Amino acid sequence: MRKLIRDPGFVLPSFGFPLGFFVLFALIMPFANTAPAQLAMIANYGAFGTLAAAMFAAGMPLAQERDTGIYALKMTTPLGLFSYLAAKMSAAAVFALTVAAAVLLLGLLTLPVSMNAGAVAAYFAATALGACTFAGLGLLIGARFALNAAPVVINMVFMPMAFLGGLVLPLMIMPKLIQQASVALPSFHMGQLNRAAVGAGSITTTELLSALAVLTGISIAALMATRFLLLRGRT
Amino acid sequence: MNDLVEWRGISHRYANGAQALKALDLKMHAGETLALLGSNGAGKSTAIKLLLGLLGAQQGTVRIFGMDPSEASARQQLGSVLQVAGLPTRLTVLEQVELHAAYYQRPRAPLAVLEELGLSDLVNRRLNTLSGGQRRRLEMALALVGSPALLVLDEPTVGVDIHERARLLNVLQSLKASGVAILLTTHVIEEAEKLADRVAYLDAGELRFLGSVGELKALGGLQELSFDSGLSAGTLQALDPHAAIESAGRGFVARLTDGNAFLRALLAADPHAQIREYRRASLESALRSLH
Repeated sequence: MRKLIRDPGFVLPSFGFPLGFFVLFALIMPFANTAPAQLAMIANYGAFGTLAAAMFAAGMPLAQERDTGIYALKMTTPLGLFSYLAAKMSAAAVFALTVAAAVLLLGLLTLPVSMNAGAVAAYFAATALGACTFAGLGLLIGARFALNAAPVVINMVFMPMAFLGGLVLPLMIMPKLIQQASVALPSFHMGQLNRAAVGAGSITTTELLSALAVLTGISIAALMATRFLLLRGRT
Repeated sequence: MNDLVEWRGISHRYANGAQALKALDLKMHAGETLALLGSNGAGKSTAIKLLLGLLGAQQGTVRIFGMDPSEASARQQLGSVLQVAGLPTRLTVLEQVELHAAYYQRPRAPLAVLEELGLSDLVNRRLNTLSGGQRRRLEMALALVGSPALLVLDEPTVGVDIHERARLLNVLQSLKASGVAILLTTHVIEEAEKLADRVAYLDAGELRFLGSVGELKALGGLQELSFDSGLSAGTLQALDPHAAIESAGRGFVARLTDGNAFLRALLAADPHAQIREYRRASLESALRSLH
């Protein structure tokens, strides 16, 4: 965590982008005029910030440590691969939660909305689950790509995922085909969970279970694939 | 004698087809210092990576403390300094060692380790403010903080100046005296001569020599004579058929088991021969004789 928060080149955009988008679309050009829409803004940009922060905070350190040799050094210690990946995922998730907290705080301070303690807890719970999912995807990219390619790949993944998942602009304004395809994206499910958590929309039991299954499944699959790639590097 | 480390029948081929090791059989005993020598591409680093679990064994087995290198229990007693280990630049010296210590069940106090390596004044400095030698000492601190029974050092003095090298060698000699086993790869022959109990010489993935430093020097000849002579190489060889004589510039270098006898024969055959240097054979010259 200390490495992450001491890197201004990482911290500034991680907070800057989601907060910047929020200020632009929710405050300067207020597309949302109703309480549910404003809460949806908080949920969506909180998810957007979580998605980006988690992917970068997990993927970039892994790519860097593989490149510099510190990953190899750590693998000669009793730390072990599972603990190493768990630590990377946890640090990224915690960092992503702080970004989501910053969006929430900005939203509650600037918009005429309120959330009870339960909604706040639900927001952070949904964010935590999503953070693990995207941290897992970030680790997979960090395990597969070299240091100079990893940030490019992460950008190529997270931006489209955020847009096509309805986190930057509402899905309802996008073509039908994109609306239908978005259910395959973890960003869509995270947005759905976040919006339901803050009271910006309802979610059926089926949708809730689907979201939990997709996010958890992708987390596990990404971790297993990451482990496979790193162990394959031992040959 | 307890075998701390064992490579048994180890062969390894990389994906590009390069055969790095061929049926390597090598053991290392508790408390000894073993120097793994060889030219670039000889297989030293591959042998080290297999030992540290960074590579999986394709053929044969590697055991460390009687266990597979992938087992966490084996790595509890192991410390390593790798050729390249880019430590995090945004952590302080103390934070680096504290983080590394957290990986071990019974680590030493980080400050005590840093004190031993002369880094006490730098505990709050970040890595990007340290010199190359200071970084190398920090890497050594990381290797020692886990109280290792075995220290694996892959070219530990590369990139450091002569003073830092001497400092690191002193640390290693202290560790050796305290009973820590050390496996060392190096291109600096002097380090092997000063530290090693035994030398293992690899060439093209095969073990060409395993023995003490003295035995290796004897293999290469106990004395080394540099001289100029008008005699031909064939005539010189006839003076001592067991000598290894090679041209060196305008003169010759001879590695001899009986230098005095050769000198007498040379001066008798060529009274005008000029002796440039006469000394005990170095480890370096002995290694050259293995090719």
